[in-house]
Amino acid sequence: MRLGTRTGLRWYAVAVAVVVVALGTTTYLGTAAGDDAVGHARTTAEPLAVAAENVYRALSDADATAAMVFLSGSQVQASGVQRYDQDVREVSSGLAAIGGQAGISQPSDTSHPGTPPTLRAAVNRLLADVPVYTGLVGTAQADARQDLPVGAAYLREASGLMRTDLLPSAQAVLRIETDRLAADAAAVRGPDTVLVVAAVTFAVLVPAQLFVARRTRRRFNLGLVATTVLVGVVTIWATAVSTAATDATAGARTHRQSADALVTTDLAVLQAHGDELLSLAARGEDVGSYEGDYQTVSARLGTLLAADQGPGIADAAAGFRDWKTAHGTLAQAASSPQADNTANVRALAQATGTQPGTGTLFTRVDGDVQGAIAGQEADFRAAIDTAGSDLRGLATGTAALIVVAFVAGAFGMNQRLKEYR
Amino acid sequence: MRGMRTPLRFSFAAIVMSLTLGVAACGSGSSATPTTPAGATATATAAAAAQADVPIPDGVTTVPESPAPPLTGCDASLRPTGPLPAAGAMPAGSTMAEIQQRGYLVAGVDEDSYLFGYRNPSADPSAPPLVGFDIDFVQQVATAIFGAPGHVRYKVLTKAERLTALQKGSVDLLADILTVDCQRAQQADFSADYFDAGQRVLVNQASTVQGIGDLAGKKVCAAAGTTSIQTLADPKYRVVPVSAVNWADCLVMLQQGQVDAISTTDLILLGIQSQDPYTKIVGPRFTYERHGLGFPKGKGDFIRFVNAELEQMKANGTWTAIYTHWIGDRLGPVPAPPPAVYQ
Repeated sequence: MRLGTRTGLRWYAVAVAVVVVALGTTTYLGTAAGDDAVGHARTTAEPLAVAAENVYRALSDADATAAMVFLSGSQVQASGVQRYDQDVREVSSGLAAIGGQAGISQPSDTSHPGTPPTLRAAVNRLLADVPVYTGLVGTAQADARQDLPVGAAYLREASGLMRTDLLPSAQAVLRIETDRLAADAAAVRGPDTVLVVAAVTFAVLVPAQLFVARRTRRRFNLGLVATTVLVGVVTIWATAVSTAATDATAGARTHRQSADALVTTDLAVLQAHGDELLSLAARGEDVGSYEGDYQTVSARLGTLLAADQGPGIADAAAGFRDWKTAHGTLAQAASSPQADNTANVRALAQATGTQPGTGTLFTRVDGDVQGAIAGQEADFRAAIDTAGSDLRGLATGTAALIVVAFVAGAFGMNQRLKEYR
Repeated sequence: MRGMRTPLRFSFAAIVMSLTLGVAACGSGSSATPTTPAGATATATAAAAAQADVPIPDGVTTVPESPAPPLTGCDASLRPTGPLPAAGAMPAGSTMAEIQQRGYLVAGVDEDSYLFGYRNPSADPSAPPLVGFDIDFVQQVATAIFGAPGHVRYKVLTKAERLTALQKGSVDLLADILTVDCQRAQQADFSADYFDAGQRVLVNQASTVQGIGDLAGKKVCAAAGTTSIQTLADPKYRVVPVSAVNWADCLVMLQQGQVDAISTTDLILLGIQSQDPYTKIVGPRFTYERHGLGFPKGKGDFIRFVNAELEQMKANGTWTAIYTHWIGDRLGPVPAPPPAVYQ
């Protein structure tokens, strides 16, 4: 059965309208979602992930620094106290940022239904227990300044709270925030859907023009030609931009993963140093727990450093080897019978960094790893910014072009249809 | 004011002591015969009345004198054989000669027992690493061997490690406020008694607790692995024993209100009380514990040597000087040195 010209034109007009609208919607929604995700990653998720990272890091650092200040006792160094205070400030401001964003100002606040209950629980736990922790550390330090052995018991209690409660909570917060950031980066889609819809669009536009040419003896319908050109432009533009944005976000994800791995390394560095200091502070009552923990963490740290990449990592690995040697020398001295205070004084001076040794080597390794983290995070932000600036304008630009393409197509088809009224 | 309450407390003490006397030094399973508590109490009350005018430092109550319970046999040490050899010239083939040959005495000590053996707060590298009552005894023994101070190496041991170290022979002697009991006597040998103590109770200043008898159903802390925690677990005291890693942890829990009292020998309690002026030691001693320096099994010559040195220290006033320096009259008047008991 031969299709009537009028009926055919009508069907093609409807088909062209449908596919052009479909292409416009697909392109607009895809790019707008990507744009939103990148925007969210840049303005919200990334700062929160960094805040969670800072909270975790500052808590670990406080665990070590509190022990260092404690060990300094009556010869307390202002720098150690300042560092501890700075850690506590970072924890508070980080928690305020995370809590504020997630609507955790009040425990019963349910105005942010998107906040995972696990995040709410972990942040509330941290908010409740950080003051308890600082109280215990304060008491330990007051006792230490009077050389009272009970101070060591307060420090142990504080560190116990830190390690069994605060650090696991901070880890939970960090995991949730980095997962959200990863989800944002994954929301930037490639051009696949756009290409499929564009193929369908051409599959309609081309036969439509052939049909019009055959039945109306006009070689070109200017409206449809304009539509085809514009659809081509939109397709090429959207494909190019979303490919670039996907590449950029993939790069960003790689940087983020490297940064996450480095953060894990840095936390192990801090834990090893904390173990060393706490073992010293526990005096004769460290029944192998801190020293044993140091051995476990330092073995893990060796593996982590070997897997990490970055400009300072080679130096960090070298520093870590020296650190382990220095630690071994001190531990051996501590376990053999001592005639005088030399070994104690040396261990203390090294651990607190007033003499080259374990403390200064820790500072070197920690500085290297932190530098590498900062580098990866800067690369992450640069990549996300690239994706953002790529995507910016695409949604509105393509939408405008599609509207023009639609109008042109409608105009072209309408001219022919008029002839059959 | 304190004195006015004293008679009342001691009449209470009489009741507690009549209930509890017989909790002897010798751990579980010992068969100490209870003595007449009535006579003991009378003596204590009279002694306390006589001392009523002596000012007592804050936070401390006087130790009522209680007679030493009969010996169990486990706490009798080896009698010295004659006078001490001249310092620096130990008899050939003796344990002391071995130590002299090595150049230093290896002493197992604690570094977390305030007043007894604790980390020297001094930052001077040439200072001794540890100081305290026990450390002074170690120094005396070393000086008796070498004739000069400074020939000691300290090996810090945890409560869990200390008897194992003696069994392995990794230290020459152990000075760590060790109560001599029959169970421990199977693992190590002990010197003659170098100080006596008894278990009492430490509470917050504001507490109305007057002794172990007021603590029924309350939480009482002691360090794990000590004689004291075993004593608290005895159902007759009806307390809830709380075991902590060490004494400092007990003080933390008391300060935080997690336990109502700490209970151990009065000398350890004094070390705890010295760290917190808002606590006080109350009630009578309800155990009697002899303390000895520990030795690996089979070092009889060294034990006899140390016992001769202890005899000399007790006789020439050194014992009293050390006690006065670390404890003084904070637990009442400086007592006479405990008499040595030999097999």
